[in-house]
Amino acid sequence: MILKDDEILKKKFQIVICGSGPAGISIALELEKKKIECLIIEAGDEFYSEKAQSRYKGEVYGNFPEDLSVLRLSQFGGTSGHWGGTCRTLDNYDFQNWPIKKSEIDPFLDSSCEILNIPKSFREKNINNNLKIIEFQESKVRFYEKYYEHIKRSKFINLALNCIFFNIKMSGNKVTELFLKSTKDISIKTNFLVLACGGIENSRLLLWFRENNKEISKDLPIGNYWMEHPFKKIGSGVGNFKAIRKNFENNFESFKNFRNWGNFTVSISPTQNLISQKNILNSAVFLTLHDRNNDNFKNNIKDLLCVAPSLSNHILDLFNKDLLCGITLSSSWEQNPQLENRITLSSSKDFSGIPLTKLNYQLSDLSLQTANEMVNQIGNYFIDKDLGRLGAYKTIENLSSFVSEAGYHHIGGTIMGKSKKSSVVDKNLKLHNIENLYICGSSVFPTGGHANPTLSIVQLSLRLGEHLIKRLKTI
Amino acid sequence: MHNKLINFDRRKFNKIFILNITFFLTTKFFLLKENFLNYYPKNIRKIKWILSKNDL
Repeated sequence: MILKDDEILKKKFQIVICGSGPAGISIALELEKKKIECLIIEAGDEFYSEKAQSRYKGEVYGNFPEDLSVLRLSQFGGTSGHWGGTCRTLDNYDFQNWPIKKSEIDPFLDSSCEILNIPKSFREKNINNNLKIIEFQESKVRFYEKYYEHIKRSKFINLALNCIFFNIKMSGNKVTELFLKSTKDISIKTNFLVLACGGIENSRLLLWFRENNKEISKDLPIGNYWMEHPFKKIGSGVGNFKAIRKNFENNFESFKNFRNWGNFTVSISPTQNLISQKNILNSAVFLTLHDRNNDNFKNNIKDLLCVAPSLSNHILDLFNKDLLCGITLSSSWEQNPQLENRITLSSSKDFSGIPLTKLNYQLSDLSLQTANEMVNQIGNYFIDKDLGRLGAYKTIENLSSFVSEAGYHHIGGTIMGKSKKSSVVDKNLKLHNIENLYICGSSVFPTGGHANPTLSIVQLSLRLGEHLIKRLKTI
Repeated sequence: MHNKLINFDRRKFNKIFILNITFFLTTKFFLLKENFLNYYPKNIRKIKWILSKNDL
């Protein structure tokens, strides 16, 4: 049910969740199954409002491509209000630097797919030793549409809208009191607090709480190792339309018509063998076929014939038989964790008095090496199978000339790990040294893989819900 | 005599004209060799192609 300020004060909640995005709602749904009451605090309103959104402004240093205030939504349902919906599980080898294995979140895949209304099908098939084709699913769930009425009627999930979580009070290694700003200032007590405010807000709030509470250790690397998924068109080419379709027809297409870029798309990813052999990052390349009306098509033919005159007869033959098509390679790939990429607090404050976000962000050479290696591998595969010729855009040669598009995936900042010096939360997502403060969302990912993070966020949230249920029994 | 002189000037003019035009065209060819041989010059190429030995 939706609570007003006075109603919040009358009740006592064992668990308070800050944030009503996919992470917060998934935890609340898991608790609801066991009839455990919780309170979700949402700083935004039921719908978009300029005032709530203004809290997401911030300063950006480096080559981050977007304004921080347009990347996320401060409203019920969080950023799921404008997300793309692409879903895939992380790979086994993405967990190499995690304190947990993939098998520990796999049991929550069924329920996560139910929440996101997607089939549990994430097939993959090696096409050679170095490359595999992979399957994505596309969710059309908007958390507002699916869960607002449900939460409104729920006896166990309470929701406070337009309620800013301003500060915490600590006693020893426990959070004892929460200070909220709504129509008036409120303070409530709880047994467990979960921060599930998103990949940037989790770090911002935790940094702010640390400034006001000496109990949170200054050694914790809060805000550090922040990552994105670089997203860019990385290559182009020409090929035999029928041969390419035939080559992949026995396999699966990840999207029939991915983002309307072309009439056929297949998603290609590196195998573990290639990642370890070439020391590159994980990546997904979307190979899209275009018809002859695409502008790149004619330029690609001119370009190719200048450097490969021996191909001219073959190209002309395909062209005359109406078999030649243009190809675009777009990619979304992993970024390696770097200490310099971090969230800190700005000197400017939002209307509630909490400092705004300051983000330092740079891509690394390794990111571009990964993109170049993937074009190289797929290009050689095309030569082997005589499917066409591909090339890498010269824009991905040098870091100085490369400008990524935003992947809108905010990863890291409160990463999980075993060591208190190099991580913020433990494998149960509990803040090191603090007994009852948990963080959930993509901010806890130590590495990002290439997969869109929402499905993994929901899996981790359900796992956290189960962990909290166990802990409540011990009180 | 008059005709001889005219013919001599004409021959001289033709010779100089041909030398000039040859010099001009040769210079232009060497200066813009890249564009003559390849109407799609390198500076507008955007792609680094992955090719086999047989393609070259």
